[in-house]
Amino acid sequence: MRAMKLIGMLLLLGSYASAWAQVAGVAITNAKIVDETGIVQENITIIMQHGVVQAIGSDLPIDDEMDVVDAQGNWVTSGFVAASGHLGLVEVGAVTDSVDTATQHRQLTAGFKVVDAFNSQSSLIAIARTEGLTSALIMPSIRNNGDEGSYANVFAGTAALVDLSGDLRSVRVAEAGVVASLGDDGKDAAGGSRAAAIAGLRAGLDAGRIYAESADEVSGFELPEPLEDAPFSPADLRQFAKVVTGELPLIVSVDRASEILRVIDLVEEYSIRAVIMGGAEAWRVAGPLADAGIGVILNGENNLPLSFDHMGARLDSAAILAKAGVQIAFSGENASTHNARNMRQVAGLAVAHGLPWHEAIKALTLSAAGLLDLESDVGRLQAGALADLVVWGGDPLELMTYPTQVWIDGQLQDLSNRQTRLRDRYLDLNDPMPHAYR
Amino acid sequence: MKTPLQWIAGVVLLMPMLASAEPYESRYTPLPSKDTLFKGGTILTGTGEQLDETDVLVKDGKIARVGKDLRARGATVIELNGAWLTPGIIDVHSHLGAGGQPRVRAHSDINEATAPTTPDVWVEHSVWPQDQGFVTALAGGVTSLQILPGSANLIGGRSVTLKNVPALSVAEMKFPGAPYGLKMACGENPKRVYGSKGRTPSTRMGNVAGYRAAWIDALDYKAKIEKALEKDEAPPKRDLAKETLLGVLDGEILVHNHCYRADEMVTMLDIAEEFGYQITAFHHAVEAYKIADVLAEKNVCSAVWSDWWGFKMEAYDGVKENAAMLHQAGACAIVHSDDAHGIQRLNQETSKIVGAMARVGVTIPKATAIQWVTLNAAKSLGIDEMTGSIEPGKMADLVIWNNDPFSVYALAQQVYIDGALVFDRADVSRQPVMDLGLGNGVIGGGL
Repeated sequence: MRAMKLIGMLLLLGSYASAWAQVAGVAITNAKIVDETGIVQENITIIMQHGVVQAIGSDLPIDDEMDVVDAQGNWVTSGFVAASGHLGLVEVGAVTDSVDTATQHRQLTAGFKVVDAFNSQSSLIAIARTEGLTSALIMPSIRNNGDEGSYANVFAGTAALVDLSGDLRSVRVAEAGVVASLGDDGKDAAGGSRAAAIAGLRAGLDAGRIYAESADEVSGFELPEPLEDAPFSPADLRQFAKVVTGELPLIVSVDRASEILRVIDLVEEYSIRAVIMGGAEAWRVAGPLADAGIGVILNGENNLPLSFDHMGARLDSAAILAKAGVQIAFSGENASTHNARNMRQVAGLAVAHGLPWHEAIKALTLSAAGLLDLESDVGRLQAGALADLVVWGGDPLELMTYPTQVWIDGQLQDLSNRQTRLRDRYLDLNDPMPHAYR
Repeated sequence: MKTPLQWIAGVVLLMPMLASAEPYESRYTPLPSKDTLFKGGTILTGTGEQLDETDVLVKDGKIARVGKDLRARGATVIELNGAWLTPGIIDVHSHLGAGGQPRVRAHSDINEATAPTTPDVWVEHSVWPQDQGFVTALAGGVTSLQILPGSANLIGGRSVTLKNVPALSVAEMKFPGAPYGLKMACGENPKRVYGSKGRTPSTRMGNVAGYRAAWIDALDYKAKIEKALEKDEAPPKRDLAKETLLGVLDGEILVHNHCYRADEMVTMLDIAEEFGYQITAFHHAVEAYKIADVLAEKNVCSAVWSDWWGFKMEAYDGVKENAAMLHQAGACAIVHSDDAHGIQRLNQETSKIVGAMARVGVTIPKATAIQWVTLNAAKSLGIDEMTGSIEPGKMADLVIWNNDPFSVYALAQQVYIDGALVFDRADVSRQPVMDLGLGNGVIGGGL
């Protein structure tokens, strides 16, 4: 009985101790870090407390109560940010019941907010986290209403930013930007021509202007008179207004150089913030993009003439864009959602084709969040930033490197996932009992 | 003395074995080449060895010698200075050419999805040699590849193995002496494609009834031919579909079976046993790791991805360690792409698998893992006596890399096919661009 009490007390003390350590903070010592300009520093200490990075530097004083993690000279970066894809919005691609990326409803376009369908318990989240991703932009998809194309359909919906802790509440930014598609998809959605897609963009932005101007005079479902016949729902109009006032950026999927130029023109005409997605031929208009302050979530694996919009696709696009001063993040062909973890490989590919290594790290961290100017302090390795950190076992871009620790909001994360459990179950096939018992 | 009728019947029966005397045979000739001595490389032979500071001599398009301090008069010398040299990469699962770029309906020739069983079609007749995807694959080190029909059908048709050289007709790409393959597919795809048309198969049991019916028909046809032969009667009309199936039953045509789930792979093995044929390789085989011991025992290869998963229910249980776990169990592991982007980096896909497996304390040497995209691939295509490893007597299908091929930063620097320099990252005159790209802004040069 006394033994039981003693054990009980020890357990209680143990849990207090770890809770205390959390309160007291965590110090990662002996870290190697790189900044946005490429300057590498070694023997660095990073102190996290209350979910935030408190200090970064050499020879920082460490409290006795702090948990100390020795990074052993390894790279420590800010957690990687998935800049595209649908984490938490889809479980199995072909199982429509598990897919919440788009709506066919004609009266819901920009007002389709993916945050409302985000499933923090999706098995895909831990799989991304295991390889150092700590947050993700999650995107709506454009729908294709075929013959019923209305140019309003070029607007897919409103994206969100989530963290990858898998906690029940892990939304960071409920509305991160309004997503639209041009190119082949946008043209189909708008009823058959890229010109219709652009007309659709304009129509949304024009309506947004009117709505923004009349915001004080209307409420709920009531529409300003000029908008009563517009093909937009009040939910859509509210989002257009946010784009027009600069509250939200417009995130446009587009590849063809001449179409990107149309987007640049629209950005200047409406004075809005924008980011390009895909950008197969963005390199052709790198200068204008840099001048207009438009960033690119670049599909870094694009190098095939998949369509007539992709003729100029090339693997050194990232290098060209970065050199011209365009801010970039990465997407890929097999690097989002189920395989968001492959962002690292896409970044490595860009480095193989001339992107400076530190620019690749920046693209994976500062990236999407920075591109969209989100209030969430995601992707920065500096005092005051969210404590999303990864301690790596080697070069973070290398194919055989894995994180040894992943921290989100200053909490140490579990690096096992559904796939590691499947692996472990089947590592040894010599078992008289069926697999289901393992 | 056989009658003319008996002779005709005999020819019909032997049709698959006479493939080499048939029309559609390979008209491939190697590009011009010079004897070359590659000096001081880090060689991954494809036979499981890593040879450091070693030379490879290529003569008349073949690997002549592998060793240290080789000398050869008249050969062009290339100082590798430790650069990595591997056999050419072989992708056993591609649809390049049959689904060419740009990806428009006019180029959509992968699936003859008008009937669930189409052994009569040969995918080579869908292959457009001018697909730019061949060029980007070449820049990724791919020297040979198998083009397959798609997986809409239970039996999709004959596959073809190609040398990855630019050409104007598919015959000029066909790998000389390579056997044909037969594409089969189990699982969700056929039953979804035909079930949505209100036809059989619409269930997995419908799939299986479909395969079995096809084999039964083939055997019936064979019996009719033999009977006609015996009775000196006119043989039945040539039937392309049944000829191909008989080629499988005769062991001449190799079965490549798209199949994801463990239980379905076991079912396909049972069907193979019922009709007496060997499944050469399961493709995709996402759950192969669950039955690695069975696959090892049955001598079936599995051609898998490193990490594709979750796009269909049958792909939900994918793990990165799949190929490595197969290898550990003594089964034949192959890494494939099934993708015009993935084919460009099969060396990297292999590396990801090795890296994943290392986390459970199992280190697979690079010299071993490279086999998953070289010699093992060649074996499953029936061309391992001709290529797939750096051994004297084999075709000089080689890649010089600018880095360790297992690194994310590695690029193929030079690619040789039958000793000819077919791609050179540093020489614009050895960087093919297909006609589509002329005046259209397509970038070449391995970019």
